[in-house]
Amino acid sequence: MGFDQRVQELPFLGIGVSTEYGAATAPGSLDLRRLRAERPEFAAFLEVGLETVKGLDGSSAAWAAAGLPTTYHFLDINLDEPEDFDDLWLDQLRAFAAQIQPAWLCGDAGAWHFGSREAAHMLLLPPILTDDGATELAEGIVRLREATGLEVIPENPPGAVYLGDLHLLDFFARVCERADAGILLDCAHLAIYQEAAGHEPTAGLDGFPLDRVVEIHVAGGEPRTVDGYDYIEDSHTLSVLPQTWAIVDRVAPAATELRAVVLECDRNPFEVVVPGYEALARRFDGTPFGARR
Amino acid sequence: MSARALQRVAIRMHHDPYLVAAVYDDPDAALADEELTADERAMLIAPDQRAWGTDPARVDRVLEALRRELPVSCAIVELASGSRRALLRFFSDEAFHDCVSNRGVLVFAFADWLQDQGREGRWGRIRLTAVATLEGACARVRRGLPGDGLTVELPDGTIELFAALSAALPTGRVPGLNRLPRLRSEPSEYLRVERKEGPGAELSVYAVEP
Repeated sequence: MGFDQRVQELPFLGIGVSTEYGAATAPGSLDLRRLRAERPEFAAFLEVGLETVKGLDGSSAAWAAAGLPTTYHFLDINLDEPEDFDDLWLDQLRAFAAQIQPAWLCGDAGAWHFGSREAAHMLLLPPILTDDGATELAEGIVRLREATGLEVIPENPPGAVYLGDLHLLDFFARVCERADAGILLDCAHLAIYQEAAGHEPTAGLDGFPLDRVVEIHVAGGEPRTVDGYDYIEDSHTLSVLPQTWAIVDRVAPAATELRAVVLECDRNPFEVVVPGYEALARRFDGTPFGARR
Repeated sequence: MSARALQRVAIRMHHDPYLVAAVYDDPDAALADEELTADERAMLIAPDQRAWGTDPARVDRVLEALRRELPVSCAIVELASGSRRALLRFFSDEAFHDCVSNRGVLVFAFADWLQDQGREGRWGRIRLTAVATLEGACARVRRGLPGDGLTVELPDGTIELFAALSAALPTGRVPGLNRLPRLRSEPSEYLRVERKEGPGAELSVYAVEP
């Protein structure tokens, strides 16, 4: 079955919140239960960031135990490395997936570590933006989809250094086509890339298959300077940059299969987060996604 | 394989500003041993060179992850050198780059590198080599290598030195090197490192007969 058919079987989730192990208990962090209780329209699902070695924290486990919707955001697989798909990791992933019953698997399609999974090996770098790189990544997406029976939605990662001869959107267009997959478009990460590459925020979107966008991430970014070099840091604050909103505004009307939107803000308190969600929701008014909420 | 080869070089560059400088200065010379095409070498120097320096804390994070398994060895280096900068030299050493290139385990490479530094007369010398050998063995046993444990031959007094520093580190009152137990190259002591039974159990280290 092709993506255009498989995507019809994916649930519509709405606007949700993301978390990682221990984030909910950090000082000043978002109270997920309160958001779900008081503003359920902004906590329609929980995107659970998972490293299999750490597992689920109490708040994610409680969310899953309540039978609430989730997605599984992997934090520990290099999709382009066949040797990274070891049996132990796959068994652990399947076990966590059975526990949280995610609508799909998703996550940054980059280098989460070098060598084996070790605390000292962890990082996150974007993929090499070449035709070979696109093929290797697509093969990994298919491999994980077949190993789990779940839809696998790659996300464009953040980065300070992007290597390769392809524009990031051309690269992911090839990945999606070769894997016959959808994409999680992180608009903040795309804004970081466009800035680093010297492009306008929406450059390259005209040729991108926006009907493959299943999920969107929005987050704040902070302009930084090092040795006179300007770049954007992926801060996950509520300071969403104009460039990020420009991308959202360009993508949302054409993203006909969009099923989930996350405001990545879980390390900020409830009172700060809610106005951010309200601003986010307004951006989707009049779009196919907004009509389905 | 080419994209992955390029990624491995990128990972090394993200940890080593000296490599970044060398690659930008003369990519053909700096990357002579890499299986990269001319186009791929050009890709590595296409970004603004300063972009590689946007996460200067990266090596600190990695070092702290390594320190969790080699705390006494790191303490000896810091006591002997007067700062942690000596430890950061690892990221510009061939040992680090070989480990990344060959999908090795970084904590093993770091332990081996520390042993070599001691053998070459740096930072605590015999004491560094002895303790790094012991902590490196612990790291291997922690990962089930080899299955039932490991026996290491070390200079007499190693367990005493290790115990003294292990006890002092959590207090923050670490004595100077000259107040720590001295090691004797003869005779040797033999220490057995084993995993304790049970989930989450740590290691046991005890003296055995040769």
